[in-house]
Amino acid sequence: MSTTLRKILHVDDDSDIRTIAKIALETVGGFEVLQCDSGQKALESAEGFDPDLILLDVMMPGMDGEDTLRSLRQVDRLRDTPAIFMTAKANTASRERLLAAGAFDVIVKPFDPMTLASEISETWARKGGRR
Amino acid sequence: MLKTTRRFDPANPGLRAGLIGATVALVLATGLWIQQSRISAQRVEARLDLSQEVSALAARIEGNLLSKYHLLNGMIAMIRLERELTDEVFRVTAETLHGNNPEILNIAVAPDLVVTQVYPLEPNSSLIGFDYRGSVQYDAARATIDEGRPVMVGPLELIQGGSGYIIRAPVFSQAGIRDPETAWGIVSIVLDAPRFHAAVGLNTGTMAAALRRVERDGSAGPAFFGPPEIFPGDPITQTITLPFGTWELAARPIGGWPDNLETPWRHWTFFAALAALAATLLHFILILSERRRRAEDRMFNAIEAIDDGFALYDSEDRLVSCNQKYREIYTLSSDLMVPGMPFETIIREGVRRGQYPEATGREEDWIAERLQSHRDADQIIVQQIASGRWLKVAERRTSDGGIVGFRVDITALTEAKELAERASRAKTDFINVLSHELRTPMTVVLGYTSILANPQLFRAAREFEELMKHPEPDPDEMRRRGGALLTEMSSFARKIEGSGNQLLSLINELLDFSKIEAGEIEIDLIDFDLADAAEAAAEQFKALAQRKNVTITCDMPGIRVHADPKRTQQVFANLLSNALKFTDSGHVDICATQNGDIVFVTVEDTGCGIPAGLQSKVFEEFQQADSSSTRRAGGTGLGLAIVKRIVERLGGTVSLNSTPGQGTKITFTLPCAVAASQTHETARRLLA
Repeated sequence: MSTTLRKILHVDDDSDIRTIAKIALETVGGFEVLQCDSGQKALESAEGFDPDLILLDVMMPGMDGEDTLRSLRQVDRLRDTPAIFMTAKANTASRERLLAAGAFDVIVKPFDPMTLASEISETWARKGGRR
Repeated sequence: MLKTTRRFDPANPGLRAGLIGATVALVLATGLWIQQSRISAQRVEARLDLSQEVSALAARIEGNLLSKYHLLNGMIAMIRLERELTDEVFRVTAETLHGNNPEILNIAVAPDLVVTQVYPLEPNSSLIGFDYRGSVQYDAARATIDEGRPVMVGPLELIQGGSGYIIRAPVFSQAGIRDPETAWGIVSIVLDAPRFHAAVGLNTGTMAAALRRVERDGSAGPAFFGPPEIFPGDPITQTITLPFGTWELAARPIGGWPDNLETPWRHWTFFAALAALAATLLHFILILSERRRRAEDRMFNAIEAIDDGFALYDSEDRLVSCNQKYREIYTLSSDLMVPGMPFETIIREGVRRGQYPEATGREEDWIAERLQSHRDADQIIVQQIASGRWLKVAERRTSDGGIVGFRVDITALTEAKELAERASRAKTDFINVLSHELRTPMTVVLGYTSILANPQLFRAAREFEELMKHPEPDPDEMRRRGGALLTEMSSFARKIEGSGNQLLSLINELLDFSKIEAGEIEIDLIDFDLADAAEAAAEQFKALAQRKNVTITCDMPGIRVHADPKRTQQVFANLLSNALKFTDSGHVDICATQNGDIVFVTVEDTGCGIPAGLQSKVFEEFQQADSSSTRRAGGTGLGLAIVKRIVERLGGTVSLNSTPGQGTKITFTLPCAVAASQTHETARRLLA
């Protein structure tokens, strides 16, 4: 994994959540953010963007978060890119299933836009990366 | 098949007595047979012993009489030698030959059949001059000469008194020439019968003997000694061949042949005791047998009484017995459930007949696994049979190497478990969906609130703040930036309001369902125009429909129903909400028709439809046709469940007809308005 967290690919079908997340990640966190409203669009844009981290919603029409991650993993440059799921399902089983699917971490909605970036940075640092 | 026909019933008193009696009789018969065998053995032994005695007796008789014959021959030789037998020569010769033989009464010579000399003279002197001619003994004396051989007669009454035998022998002038015409005379020896008998040992010891002559033609003469009945009494016989004829000696034990045991009381005491012992043992065996039979009956009855299938296989894995329930469970192979049938045959044939659906397509593997688990007999397996029922199969080894098996019908349990698991899964899905449905708008509410609370986070606020730092801000720029700020803040606030309303709607839906479930929903039934409720609901979704380019139409002219207008509107709202969720283009049509007292209302969309397998679930609480993570629409899944319950409370029913890819049509019924119903009833009567 890249040792510096700079670019984040954010995928969520809810436009309001994308708006809030963009403010939280760009304005508060200072990251470079590319947002997609579906897994399919993420697949089309991800390779060119070459993110350091992928932030994925779970419940999305068409292609859900897990399927999106699996598809992204097929792209050579994204094979090892860390991914964090953002889910509104708060139960333990869901969290464990997502971690088993290869997630770097799981963030439960609702999130605080003031602390989202620092939460992601801490996770990043804990896993061996640096800001 | 558990009970077999009983050929012997130890509980039957008559049968039991008969069996004991037969046993006693058998033992006594055996005693009798052994007694007869022993008596026969005694007889054989007695005959053997007596045969030796008879042989010895015959030898003694033969020896005794041969000595007398030789004595006569000695006298004859002397006569031939001397020609003129003087008294002295005769006396000396006779004395020598007599030898003080006590059974010889006398020795006499009778030349020309007249006794001339006799020894001892006394007490036989009266015989001197006895002329055979004219006496009763003439024929016998003459026969001796005529036959030319010695003749023995007797026993007979003697002239001199007493009983005796007389042996006479002819004397011819020349040796070798037996010419009666030239016969010199005869010599005789008279034997005292009692002494002779005593000398040879007749009538001594334990033997009763009899003698008779055997004539030349082989016929037997009358007995001349001993009881004549000895001869026909199965005696030991011995033939005695003498120079003067053949005798037959017969003998038997004095008391007769043994016809009983020496100690019969001991024999019969033993067998009586044996019979008593056998009867007692048999009695107890029968009692034990009866007790065992009763115990078996109790066990069999108990096994038959249980609701579970029971089967017992022997150590060779052949069926010993099973109860009726076992046969009823395996209906397709019940005819194979007969004693002696191998388990493998039952299983194989059952598989062939389709008794075990789970074996279909992998028959041999299934049979191998089933046989293995059966022979291991240490696990409990669950098995589905052709009838669709589920069985718990428990098998265990018995101490003699057999296998006992139970089949417990767990269909109800399995179904209940599946139902519970399905309900549990539905609730889990519901909680997940609810969590999602609550947290998503909550994220929007809290997110925008946080942004509003931290104005540096959005550009309009930052730009306005930047302008305000200027000592003399440009009023136009201030108005422009202030307006932009207000617009953005207003936008955020509307989003917060929208999500808040979404949350409120969700909470209301949950509360509604909770109330309906608790029976707390208030229903106010009145007559009203159905179109009012439908149009009010349509108005709620007008904006959403326009955004999705979906047309909502209402066609229910003048139809009035007897229901709760508020709840009816809620039904329309839920159905429209549901239809719009799954309809991206086209239309949603609300129609109503009246048929008698019932109004049929349909809400039909041109949406994606519902797969056939999920259509039966959509009216159940916590169920959504699609609760997956890729579902295209939100909601708790309570909307249609609430519709169903409200309609039922209003006295109607709900049904669904959906074609995937074409759309969904939901039909519900309501009672028509009371006035309309009365009108309808009146019209019906008039028409009748």
